[in-house]
Amino acid sequence: MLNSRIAEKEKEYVSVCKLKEISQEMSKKLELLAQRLETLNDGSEAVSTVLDNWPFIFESIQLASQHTGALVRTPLSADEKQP
Amino acid sequence: MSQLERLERLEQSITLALYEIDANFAKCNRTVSTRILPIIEKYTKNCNNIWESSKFWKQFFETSASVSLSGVEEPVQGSEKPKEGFVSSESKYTDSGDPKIEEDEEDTETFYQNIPSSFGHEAFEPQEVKDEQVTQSTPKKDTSFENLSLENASLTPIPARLQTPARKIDEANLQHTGRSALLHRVLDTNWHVQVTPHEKKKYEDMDIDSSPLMSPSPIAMKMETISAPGDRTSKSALSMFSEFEHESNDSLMPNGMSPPKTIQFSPHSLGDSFNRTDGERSLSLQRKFDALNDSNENMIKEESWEL
Repeated sequence: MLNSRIAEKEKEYVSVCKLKEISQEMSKKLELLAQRLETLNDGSEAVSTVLDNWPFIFESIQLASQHTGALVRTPLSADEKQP
Repeated sequence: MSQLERLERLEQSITLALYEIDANFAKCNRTVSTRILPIIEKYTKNCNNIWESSKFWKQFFETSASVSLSGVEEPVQGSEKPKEGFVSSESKYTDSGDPKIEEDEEDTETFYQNIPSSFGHEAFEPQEVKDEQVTQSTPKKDTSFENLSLENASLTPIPARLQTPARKIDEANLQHTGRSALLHRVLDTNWHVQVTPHEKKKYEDMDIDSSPLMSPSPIAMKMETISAPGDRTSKSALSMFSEFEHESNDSLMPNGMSPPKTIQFSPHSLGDSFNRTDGERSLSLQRKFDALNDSNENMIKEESWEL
């Protein structure tokens, strides 16, 4: 009877070991997924920023087209723009 | 007995392994809840921004090509056509981006443009579209976008979807319930974009008047003399920019040009000097328009930027 119990315990141990390895794999995969999603999010932020900037481009062009005189831009930095 | 000892050791090792498994699961849950969920929230926000921003360009391209775009979902049936079909169909679309120029005989000729989904489905199915789909997808200004986004408010709105495809798919794939229906649908379907050219009238005088790209005012004088073919599109593609800027001034043409001035195209590409007389003005515009048509589609976008 003891031998049979030992045999059962050994089978149980083997399957439990497999479970442990699989769960370890899962945690690694999820870690990888988290990294990829972070990259994805950064990319989407970049695209979102670019698309958000289009109206400003239009605005600048319209402004430039309306004023045939010299445009002087005085931003916070020391640059000046005079087309 | 060594058997008892062995039994005990085995039992201990089993307990230890179970503890490790529990630790792994806890680590998984931590990773998912701490890192992944906030990232996905930010991603949804960015994606929504992108979709709203892309709405403008979609309208722009629709106006310039006089087509209506709609997203059609096809359930994947294990069809695997080679990628060449996709490339050739895409090149066909770019070449014939303005169906009016091709003088199509059929009014409702539709063709598919494949969008490879992020899950790797790359099948392409050039099927004939039923009339119901076509007629319901022709209206350009739809409030169905908002309707759909409210329906699927739980998740990000599916881009470029109109009423008919949504209902069709809903009835077909109503195996899953509620919110998960969308999740399960994403993997099941192929994402297509259906291009529907607008019905065009046959113009007796095929001239620059028929182009929706040209701003109407330099042609207005000519249109008074020739019987107007009717305004097919109330707005030109160029005027969308001024609308986009919330500056709709009737007297001002797009990009701040006033009506009496002749439209200036890029001089380096056309190389013609301007003709100030009325009769020659239309001819020069027509020549420049032909030159534009000869070049690739990008010129249509470029002309709006030249001052």
